[in-house]
Amino acid sequence: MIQQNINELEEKSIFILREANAKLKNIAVLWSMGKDSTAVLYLIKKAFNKVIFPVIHIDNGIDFPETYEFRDNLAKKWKLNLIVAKSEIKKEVSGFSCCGANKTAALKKVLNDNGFDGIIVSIRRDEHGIRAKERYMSLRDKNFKWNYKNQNVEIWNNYVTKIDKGNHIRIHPILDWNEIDVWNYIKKQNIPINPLYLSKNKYRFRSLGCTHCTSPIKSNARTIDEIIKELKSTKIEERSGRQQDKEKEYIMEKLRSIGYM
Amino acid sequence: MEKYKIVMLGEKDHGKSTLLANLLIASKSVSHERINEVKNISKKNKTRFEPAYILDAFSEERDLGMTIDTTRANIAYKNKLIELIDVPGHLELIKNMMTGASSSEIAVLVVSAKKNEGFKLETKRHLFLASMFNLKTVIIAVNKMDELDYNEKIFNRLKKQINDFLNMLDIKIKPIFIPISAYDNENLTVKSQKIKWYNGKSLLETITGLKNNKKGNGKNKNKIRVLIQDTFDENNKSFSGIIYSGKLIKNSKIKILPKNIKAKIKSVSFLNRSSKSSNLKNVLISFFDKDLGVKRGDIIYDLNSDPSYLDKFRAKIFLINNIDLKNLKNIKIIFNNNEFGINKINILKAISPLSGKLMDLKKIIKPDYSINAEINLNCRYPIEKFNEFEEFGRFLIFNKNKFAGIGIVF
Repeated sequence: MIQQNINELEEKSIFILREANAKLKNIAVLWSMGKDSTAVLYLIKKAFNKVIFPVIHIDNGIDFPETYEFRDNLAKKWKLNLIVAKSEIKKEVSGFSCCGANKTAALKKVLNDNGFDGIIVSIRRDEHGIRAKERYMSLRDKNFKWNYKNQNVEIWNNYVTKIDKGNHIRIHPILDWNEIDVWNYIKKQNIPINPLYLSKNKYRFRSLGCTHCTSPIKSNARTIDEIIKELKSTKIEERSGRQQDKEKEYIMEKLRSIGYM
Repeated sequence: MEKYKIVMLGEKDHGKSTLLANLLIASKSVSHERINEVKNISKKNKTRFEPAYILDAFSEERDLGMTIDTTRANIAYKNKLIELIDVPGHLELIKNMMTGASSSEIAVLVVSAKKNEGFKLETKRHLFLASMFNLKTVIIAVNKMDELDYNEKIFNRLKKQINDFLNMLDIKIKPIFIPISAYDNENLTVKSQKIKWYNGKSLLETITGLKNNKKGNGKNKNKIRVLIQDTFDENNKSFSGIIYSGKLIKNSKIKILPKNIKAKIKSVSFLNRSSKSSNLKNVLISFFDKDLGVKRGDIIYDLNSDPSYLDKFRAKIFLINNIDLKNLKNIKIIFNNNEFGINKINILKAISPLSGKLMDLKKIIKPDYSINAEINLNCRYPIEKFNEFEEFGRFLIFNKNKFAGIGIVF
């Protein structure tokens, strides 16, 4: 896996966060307690000296116990303004209906209730072909629709953030990062992580979702150094333990068209 | 690790996405899972294995066989990191192409050598834009040579056509020409055995052999140019900014334009001590004095240095849509995320970069022309020449809140 210069990545991410803060009025950040969104919370802390945005957890009630414990500890330690948005669990709990409909509905509600015009989302281009098409600041309409055929220009670090009422901007500060860059950064800055990423009984989680749709991978990596070493030589995609990506070729496109992250 | 930022340019169907995908596969930068997914879709669509599907991830892109929006992919080759940006080759999608080209240093322009494809309008437009985006190197990958028996004469004819065009328009680009077959992997990573008459290197070897692609402000690098991004504290004494040129030194005096505010620096702090390679260098600056009236968009200068322009400036602009000059209030100009209205635009010269013909334009500025104009902003703002301080000499043009084009100051 390709490693990039983390100082350079950090400079760009912080530039994007400060730019978003200067241009938008009411920003929140999504936090899944996964490695990417936790690294983004750290970047926000570094950009503004504290996590100045409300932190949203879309909680379907079926995350791992370790995840909830990690959330509560870090929320206390970093003095997070945590908003827990409960999402319903429908009967058919897998892929499209779970992550798509349920989480997105909960996010819509929390956005409407709070009037957020910007949401920081920790997606990366290397995760999926569709995410590789994203902008750093990406417009969503009231129905969360992503008009990917007519995206705004992003030329010379200029971002378009003019929006009509009810629409919002998805801010993607770590779009350029690769999976291994996130781990290198976590190691360098000593950022706390969810313990499920580390190997226990020869298994660890590489990508974390809820208890129903993510499964662990075989791994002996018990430290961050060992994770980095493992990633350097892996040939398997990060999200291979995720149900939703597997079901159909275009499931991610369908999820994103209705507003999924 | 040295990084090369490359945009893939060229007309639709000339093979950009195929080339990029095969580079990814050949350099082992894409997983088996992704390749298998594409194999399955190709099988389902009853087509031959289509490497372009790796990048064209939207179902619509695959169904139509075209790229709609930019994609980025990284490859590692012989200890060098190459970031490749694929862009659409359709005229209607030119703004997406511009988004991709603006963050690159090198262009690989894919031109099909096939008789009915060849050197066409979109390729000319892309060459012209490559010069506007100040891309340091343009590599022209002459593609589909497999379908032409790797014929040297056809390659040379195309090379001459392109060089003649660049000379006619006085575009200062000296391209490197490489014959390739994107689909058959000839001359992509290793030198092709099928093209004996070609003495140069393969595409990847050529790219990784390039030196000094980083943009920089050269002889002006000691002059201070720092863009104020935002206020940082309630006392209005510290600010976040981006250092584009020069060094900020504690206790030294500087001035802040356009209001010409003089101030003494109390402290300067960086995110990283050593981010020399980064073209964005964030900084937090605080001044001894408070309530100086410094605003987002202001620019810090050394006391003895001045901008090239303060309200009226000359620029070369390229539009993608018509602009009616009778309605100047609809037009906005964006310098570094800061928006300005304009009082006047005077067209000095309009030339078609596609045909080389001059055009008499007065009331309407048309797309597809290289237009030299004199522009008056509706307020004072420090503006630099593009070839002196690139970041302060380039702008976006919006008409009725829609992107209309770009400009560079001369």
